[in-house]
Amino acid sequence: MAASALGTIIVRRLGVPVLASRLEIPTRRDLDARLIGGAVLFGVGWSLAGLCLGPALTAVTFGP
Amino acid sequence: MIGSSSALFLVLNGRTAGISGILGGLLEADRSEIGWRRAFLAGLLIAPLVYRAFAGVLPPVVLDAPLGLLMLAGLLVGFGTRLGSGCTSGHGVCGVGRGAPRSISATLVFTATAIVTVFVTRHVLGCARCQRSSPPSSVACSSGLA
Repeated sequence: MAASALGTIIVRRLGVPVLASRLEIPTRRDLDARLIGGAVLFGVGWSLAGLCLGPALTAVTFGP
Repeated sequence: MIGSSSALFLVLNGRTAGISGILGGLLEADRSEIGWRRAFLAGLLIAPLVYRAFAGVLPPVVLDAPLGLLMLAGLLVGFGTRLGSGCTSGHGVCGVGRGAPRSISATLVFTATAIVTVFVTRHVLGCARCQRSSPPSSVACSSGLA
Protein backbone atom coordinates (compact mmCIF):
# COMPACT_ATOMS: atom_id res chain seq x y z
CA MET A 1 0.00 0.00 0.00
CA ALA A 2 2.84 2.38 0.81
CA ALA A 3 4.45 1.55 -2.53
CA SER A 4 1.21 2.06 -4.42
CA ALA A 5 0.70 5.37 -2.58
CA LEU A 6 4.14 6.44 -3.81
CA GLY A 7 3.16 5.38 -7.35
CA THR A 8 0.06 7.57 -7.08
CA ILE A 9 2.14 10.57 -6.02
CA ILE A 10 4.62 10.04 -8.86
CA VAL A 11 1.99 9.62 -11.57
CA ARG A 12 0.05 12.67 -10.34
CA ARG A 13 3.24 14.75 -10.50
CA LEU A 14 3.92 13.48 -14.03
CA GLY A 15 0.36 14.21 -15.11
CA VAL A 16 0.37 11.38 -17.67
CA PRO A 17 1.68 7.83 -17.36
CA VAL A 18 5.04 6.99 -18.99
CA LEU A 19 3.76 4.47 -21.56
CA ALA A 20 0.10 5.45 -21.96
CA SER A 21 -1.67 8.56 -23.20
CA ARG A 22 -3.89 9.10 -20.17
CA LEU A 23 -4.45 8.12 -16.58
CA GLU A 24 -7.37 5.71 -16.12
CA ILE A 25 -8.05 5.40 -12.45
CA PRO A 26 -11.45 5.27 -10.74
CA THR A 27 -12.74 8.66 -9.63
CA ARG A 28 -16.01 7.79 -7.87
CA ARG A 29 -16.12 8.67 -4.20
CA ASP A 30 -19.68 7.73 -3.23
CA LEU A 31 -20.52 4.58 -1.29
CA ASP A 32 -23.40 2.39 -2.42
CA ALA A 33 -25.02 -0.92 -1.53
CA ARG A 34 -23.36 -2.72 -4.45
CA LEU A 35 -19.89 -1.81 -3.21
CA ILE A 36 -20.56 -2.86 0.36
CA GLY A 37 -22.59 -5.97 -0.59
CA GLY A 38 -19.91 -7.06 -3.03
CA ALA A 39 -17.22 -6.58 -0.39
CA VAL A 40 -19.22 -8.73 2.06
CA LEU A 41 -19.62 -11.57 -0.50
CA PHE A 42 -15.96 -11.33 -1.43
CA GLY A 43 -14.88 -11.38 2.23
CA VAL A 44 -16.82 -14.59 2.87
CA GLY A 45 -15.48 -16.33 -0.25
CA TRP A 46 -11.93 -15.13 0.30
CA SER A 47 -11.78 -16.50 3.83
CA LEU A 48 -13.54 -19.80 3.02
CA ALA A 49 -11.05 -20.66 0.29
CA GLY A 50 -8.03 -18.94 1.83
CA LEU A 51 -7.41 -17.44 -1.62
CA CYS A 52 -8.44 -14.31 -3.47
CA LEU A 53 -8.13 -13.81 -7.22
CA GLY A 54 -4.44 -13.12 -7.73
CA PRO A 55 -3.06 -15.97 -5.63
CA ALA A 56 -5.75 -18.31 -7.00
CA LEU A 57 -4.66 -17.57 -10.58
CA THR A 58 -0.99 -17.85 -9.76
CA ALA A 59 -1.67 -21.16 -8.00
CA VAL A 60 -3.06 -22.53 -11.27
CA THR A 61 0.42 -23.07 -12.68
CA PHE A 62 1.93 -24.67 -9.58
CA GLY A 63 -0.88 -25.54 -7.18
CA PRO A 64 -2.00 -28.96 -5.92
CA MET B 1 6.32 -6.71 -4.02
CA ILE B 2 2.67 -6.50 -5.05
CA GLY B 3 2.57 -2.85 -3.98
CA SER B 4 5.70 -2.02 -5.98
CA SER B 5 4.48 -3.77 -9.09
CA SER B 6 1.10 -2.04 -8.92
CA ALA B 7 2.90 1.30 -8.40
CA LEU B 8 4.99 0.58 -11.49
CA PHE B 9 1.87 -0.39 -13.44
CA LEU B 10 0.22 2.88 -12.42
CA VAL B 11 3.23 5.04 -13.31
CA LEU B 12 3.93 3.30 -16.62
CA ASN B 13 0.45 2.33 -17.84
CA GLY B 14 -1.72 4.72 -15.85
CA ARG B 15 -4.04 1.98 -14.66
CA THR B 16 -5.13 0.30 -11.48
CA ALA B 17 -3.70 -3.21 -11.11
CA GLY B 18 -7.00 -4.68 -9.98
CA ILE B 19 -7.04 -8.33 -10.92
CA SER B 20 -10.82 -8.81 -10.87
CA GLY B 21 -11.34 -5.79 -13.12
CA ILE B 22 -8.56 -6.78 -15.52
CA LEU B 23 -9.93 -10.32 -15.84
CA GLY B 24 -13.55 -9.17 -16.08
CA GLY B 25 -12.56 -6.85 -18.92
CA LEU B 26 -11.32 -9.86 -20.91
CA LEU B 27 -14.95 -10.87 -21.38
CA GLU B 28 -16.08 -7.47 -22.58
CA ALA B 29 -16.39 -6.53 -26.24
CA ASP B 30 -13.76 -3.77 -26.55
CA ARG B 31 -11.05 -5.31 -28.77
CA SER B 32 -8.44 -2.63 -28.13
CA GLU B 33 -8.55 -3.46 -24.43
CA ILE B 34 -7.91 -7.19 -24.75
CA GLY B 35 -4.14 -7.26 -25.43
CA TRP B 36 -2.77 -5.77 -22.25
CA ARG B 37 -5.29 -7.73 -20.16
CA ARG B 38 -4.09 -10.99 -21.72
CA ALA B 39 -0.48 -9.95 -21.07
CA PHE B 40 -1.28 -9.23 -17.42
CA LEU B 41 -2.96 -12.63 -17.01
CA ALA B 42 0.01 -14.33 -18.70
CA GLY B 43 2.34 -12.60 -16.25
CA LEU B 44 0.35 -13.94 -13.31
CA LEU B 45 0.51 -17.47 -14.68
CA ILE B 46 4.20 -17.33 -15.63
CA ALA B 47 5.34 -15.76 -12.33
CA PRO B 48 5.55 -19.06 -10.38
CA LEU B 49 7.71 -20.58 -13.12
CA VAL B 50 10.09 -17.60 -12.98
CA TYR B 51 10.15 -17.83 -9.19
CA ARG B 52 11.02 -21.51 -9.39
CA ALA B 53 13.78 -20.85 -11.93
CA PHE B 54 15.51 -18.54 -9.42
CA ALA B 55 14.56 -20.00 -6.04
CA GLY B 56 14.61 -23.67 -7.03
CA VAL B 57 11.47 -24.54 -5.08
CA LEU B 58 7.98 -23.13 -4.81
CA PRO B 59 6.20 -22.51 -1.53
CA PRO B 60 3.39 -25.08 -1.11
CA VAL B 61 -0.20 -24.04 -1.81
CA VAL B 62 -2.38 -25.24 1.04
CA LEU B 63 -6.05 -25.70 0.16
CA ASP B 64 -7.63 -27.64 2.99
CA ALA B 65 -11.27 -26.80 2.30
CA PRO B 66 -13.46 -29.49 0.65
CA LEU B 67 -14.07 -29.12 -3.10
CA GLY B 68 -17.72 -28.03 -2.75
CA LEU B 69 -16.76 -25.31 -0.30
CA LEU B 70 -13.96 -24.14 -2.62
CA MET B 71 -16.44 -23.91 -5.50
CA LEU B 72 -18.88 -21.91 -3.36
CA ALA B 73 -16.00 -19.68 -2.24
CA GLY B 74 -14.96 -19.17 -5.86
CA LEU B 75 -18.47 -18.07 -6.81
CA LEU B 76 -18.61 -15.68 -3.85
CA VAL B 77 -15.22 -14.20 -4.77
CA GLY B 78 -16.32 -13.80 -8.39
CA PHE B 79 -19.74 -12.26 -7.72
CA GLY B 80 -18.42 -10.19 -4.84
CA THR B 81 -15.54 -8.62 -6.74
CA ARG B 82 -17.66 -7.72 -9.78
CA LEU B 83 -20.47 -6.32 -7.63
CA GLY B 84 -18.08 -4.46 -5.35
CA SER B 85 -15.87 -3.31 -8.27
CA GLY B 86 -12.67 -4.76 -6.86
CA CYS B 87 -10.77 -7.26 -4.75
CA THR B 88 -7.71 -7.20 -2.51
CA SER B 89 -5.50 -5.90 -5.33
CA GLY B 90 -7.76 -3.20 -6.79
CA HIS B 91 -9.28 -1.96 -3.54
CA GLY B 92 -6.81 -3.17 -0.92
CA VAL B 93 -3.47 -2.40 -2.57
CA CYS B 94 -4.18 0.23 -5.23
CA GLY B 95 -7.31 1.96 -3.89
CA VAL B 96 -6.19 2.28 -0.28
CA GLY B 97 -2.76 3.46 -1.47
CA ARG B 98 -4.53 6.14 -3.52
CA GLY B 99 -6.68 7.13 -0.55
CA ALA B 100 -9.93 6.35 -2.41
CA PRO B 101 -12.88 6.39 0.03
CA ARG B 102 -14.74 3.60 -1.80
CA SER B 103 -11.69 1.35 -1.66
CA ILE B 104 -10.98 2.09 2.00
CA SER B 105 -14.60 1.25 2.83
CA ALA B 106 -14.58 -1.93 0.73
CA THR B 107 -11.28 -3.08 2.26
CA LEU B 108 -12.57 -2.53 5.80
CA VAL B 109 -15.78 -4.41 4.97
CA PHE B 110 -14.19 -7.43 3.27
CA THR B 111 -11.46 -7.75 5.88
CA ALA B 112 -14.01 -7.60 8.72
CA THR B 113 -16.27 -10.09 6.91
CA ALA B 114 -13.34 -12.44 6.39
CA ILE B 115 -12.37 -12.27 10.08
CA VAL B 116 -15.96 -13.01 11.15
CA THR B 117 -16.25 -15.87 8.61
CA VAL B 118 -13.05 -17.53 9.80
CA PHE B 119 -14.14 -17.18 13.41
CA VAL B 120 -17.61 -18.63 12.71
CA THR B 121 -16.44 -21.56 10.55
CA ARG B 122 -13.51 -22.54 12.75
CA HIS B 123 -14.72 -21.86 16.24
CA VAL B 124 -18.52 -21.73 16.14
CA LEU B 125 -19.44 -24.31 13.48
CA GLY B 126 -17.02 -26.88 14.86
CA CYS B 127 -14.04 -26.43 12.61
CA ALA B 128 -15.05 -28.14 9.35
CA ARG B 129 -11.66 -27.59 7.71
CA CYS B 130 -9.65 -28.99 10.61
CA GLN B 131 -11.72 -32.17 10.86
CA ARG B 132 -10.40 -33.14 7.46
CA SER B 133 -6.79 -32.62 8.49
CA SER B 134 -4.51 -34.89 10.46
CA PRO B 135 -5.28 -35.51 14.16
CA PRO B 136 -2.68 -33.09 15.61
CA SER B 137 -4.18 -30.05 13.90
CA SER B 138 -7.70 -31.17 14.90
CA VAL B 139 -6.56 -31.19 18.49
CA ALA B 140 -4.97 -27.78 18.10
CA CYS B 141 -8.15 -26.45 16.52
CA SER B 142 -10.58 -27.87 19.04
CA SER B 143 -8.55 -26.29 21.81
CA GLY B 144 -8.82 -22.98 20.02
CA LEU B 145 -5.19 -22.74 18.92
CA ALA B 146 -5.60 -22.97 15.15
